[in-house]
Amino acid sequence: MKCSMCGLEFNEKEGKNACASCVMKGCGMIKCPNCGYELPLEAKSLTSFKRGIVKLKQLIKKEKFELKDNAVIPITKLKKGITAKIAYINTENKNRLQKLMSLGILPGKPIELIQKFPSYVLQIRHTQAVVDKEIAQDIFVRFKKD
Amino acid sequence: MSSEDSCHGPKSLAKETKCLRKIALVGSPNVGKSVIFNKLTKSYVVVSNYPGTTVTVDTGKATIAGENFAVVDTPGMYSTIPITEEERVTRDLLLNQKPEIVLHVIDAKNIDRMLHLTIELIEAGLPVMLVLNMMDEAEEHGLKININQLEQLLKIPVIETTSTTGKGIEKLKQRIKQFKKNKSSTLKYSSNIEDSIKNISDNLKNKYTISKRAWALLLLQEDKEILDLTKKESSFKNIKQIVSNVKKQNNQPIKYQITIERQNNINDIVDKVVQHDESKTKPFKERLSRMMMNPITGIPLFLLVIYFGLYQFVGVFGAGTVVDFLESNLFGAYINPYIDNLVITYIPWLWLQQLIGLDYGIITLGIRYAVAIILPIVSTFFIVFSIIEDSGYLPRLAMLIDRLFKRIGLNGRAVIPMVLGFGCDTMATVVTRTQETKKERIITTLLLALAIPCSAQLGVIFAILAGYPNALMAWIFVMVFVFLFIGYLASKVIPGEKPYFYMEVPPLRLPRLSNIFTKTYSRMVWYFKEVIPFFILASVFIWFGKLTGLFDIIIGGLTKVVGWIGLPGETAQAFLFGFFRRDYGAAGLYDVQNALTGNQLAIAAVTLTLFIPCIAQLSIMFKERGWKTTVAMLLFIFPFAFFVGYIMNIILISLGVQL
Repeated sequence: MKCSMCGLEFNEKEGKNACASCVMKGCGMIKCPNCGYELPLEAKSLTSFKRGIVKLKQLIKKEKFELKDNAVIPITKLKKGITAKIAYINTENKNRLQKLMSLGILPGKPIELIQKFPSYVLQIRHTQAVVDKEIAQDIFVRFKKD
Repeated sequence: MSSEDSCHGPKSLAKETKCLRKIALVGSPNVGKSVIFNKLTKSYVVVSNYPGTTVTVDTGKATIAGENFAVVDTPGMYSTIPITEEERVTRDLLLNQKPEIVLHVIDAKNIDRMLHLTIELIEAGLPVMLVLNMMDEAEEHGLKININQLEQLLKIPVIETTSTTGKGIEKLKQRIKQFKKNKSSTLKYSSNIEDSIKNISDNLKNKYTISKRAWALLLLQEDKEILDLTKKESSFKNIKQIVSNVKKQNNQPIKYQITIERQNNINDIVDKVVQHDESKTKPFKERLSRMMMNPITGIPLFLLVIYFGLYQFVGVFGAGTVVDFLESNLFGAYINPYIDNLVITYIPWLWLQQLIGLDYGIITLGIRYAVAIILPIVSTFFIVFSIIEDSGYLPRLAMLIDRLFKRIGLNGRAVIPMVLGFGCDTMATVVTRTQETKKERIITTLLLALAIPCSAQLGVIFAILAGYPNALMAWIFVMVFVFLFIGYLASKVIPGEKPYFYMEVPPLRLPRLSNIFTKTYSRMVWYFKEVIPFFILASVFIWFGKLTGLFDIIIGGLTKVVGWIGLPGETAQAFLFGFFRRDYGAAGLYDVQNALTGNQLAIAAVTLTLFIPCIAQLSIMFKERGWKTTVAMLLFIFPFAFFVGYIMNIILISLGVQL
């Protein structure tokens, strides 16, 4: 970036160093290392917007990747409304494991992902259960093309 | 105490049931266990089923074909290996009280999931009967179950019931009467497990209350309690060795392997006995259920429930119409003048007159408040709550709100105590027992004490702020903000695990009037037993304070404090009374409302809501959370309530807003 006061060209790191002595943190401005003039940091909304587009592109790619037949994936990556077979459960946390088992979530059973937001709604035979993302990530399913 | 000692002499119900043959009702939560219990025991027992779980154990007397039985309704249990306090209680009961019949109640449509516990109970050598409950829902889902074949496969009696309508209950009673324990079938696991079961059983020399095979299975699944009970064995070391060997051979927990094998076995059984007609279309209920869980339609639906259930029914009808009628027609016109007249005529001492009648007497204030204000508000609330609870709406609401609640250190399940808190914070504080972690219990207790107004208080606040819609909005806004902000801070400050959320979503059900009535009634009974005595105590305190002049001193001090938050001195009395009962405070405000501006009303309402909880709630807080935690909460709440009032006053003044 370029200082609009003295015209010095500097990068963000140099600017951050100049900011070190200042008490105002996260003010959205950056100091010129030469003259100390405070100029606005590149608009955050713009960078986050750019990042969002990159993420979106990744997401579209991923969606295609997921559609591979017979792939074993965490149920969180399944699309809404799809039924798959439970492949296995992550068994590291024993309390969580027992809760999942008591809900009838066991390998071999068909499971439908009804809803993803705000929580995961699952249908296992005649049982409907809601779980949060952390727990849903423990359930791995085998995806089959129908 | 031997059972003979307790079987003679005068018989109370509790004593009498000790001598009878025992039937234990077992099953996971929400399968209609308590309803079956009620149907069997008729009116002999008061049900204390708090939402989600049966926290206490209920025992009742049942007369079946001329013989009396003691029926025990055990807390909800998913597996014989306990993780929750409730499951521990139930297992202990089964192991040590030796019931003659164990009725395992299951939700028929989920037979493939619930037979696990049946098999575990059979494995333990317990005298099991299987009750397939909620047959109506199973039929709705297109399920047909061949009972005879299921009986043959499991070698235990199987009965179909629909407890809510009472269908099948007579049959159940017949089979209880005929019950004789047979040798039931046991399921064989794969050879590595069977070998270790045999090795462990060979090492078990002591006597246990359940079969050695079942004991060995529990040891294999690393049940800590069972392991401790096995320590006395001479070959305890060998047993431990066997368990750790199997563990080494398996790369998955043994519990997981055993459950999977059992599931395969169950699948075989279910394939044989259950016919499934898949052609049934998605019923309206399911579509409504999805609308409730989808935020776009779910949030408007939630607001509708609040508007009609809480505002129209509890607020306008209960706190308005019914309270007005009882206050002015019953007490205002008859009882109070009558009592006042009576005490003035027959009692020569003013102090005693004041204790019973006049402005602050036990009858004219304590009982009047309890009957004319609290009773209608609280009972209308409990009716709504029971309907909401029985319809199955709460899990759906929990699901909608889980993400928000995670921010304040809770999980979606906490909606149950929170919603109940709008009825009675005292009862809601008791319900925090059902929460899983200590951290969640502390945060919920704090938020209930601080930011959730009870129905009595809510009713009075609505009445005061009715003429000032802006002040009402300001009050709501500040309460929501405080609730979220303090919850957020508390979740950061209080140590403990991150909460996680899982919940079964029962199908939507049309609540049945008789069940609503039973629930509302038992809650009212609880309320009157636990809370009303405190109301009477409060009116005695107030009388004492007035009489001794103690109140004048305190009011003098409080006048200064309320002055800081921009309120006139008249409100000091309301704050003092708020100490005794939440709604006393608000009601005290009601009397002086004409002297206050909209701003002052809003500030006073906010400060009073945040302010100290009522005496009843306080005593439950001490009981449930211990004195250290409770004192810490109070030391925070008291100054904080006035601090928020102070800040609010400054903001309103500096913005020049008139509400």
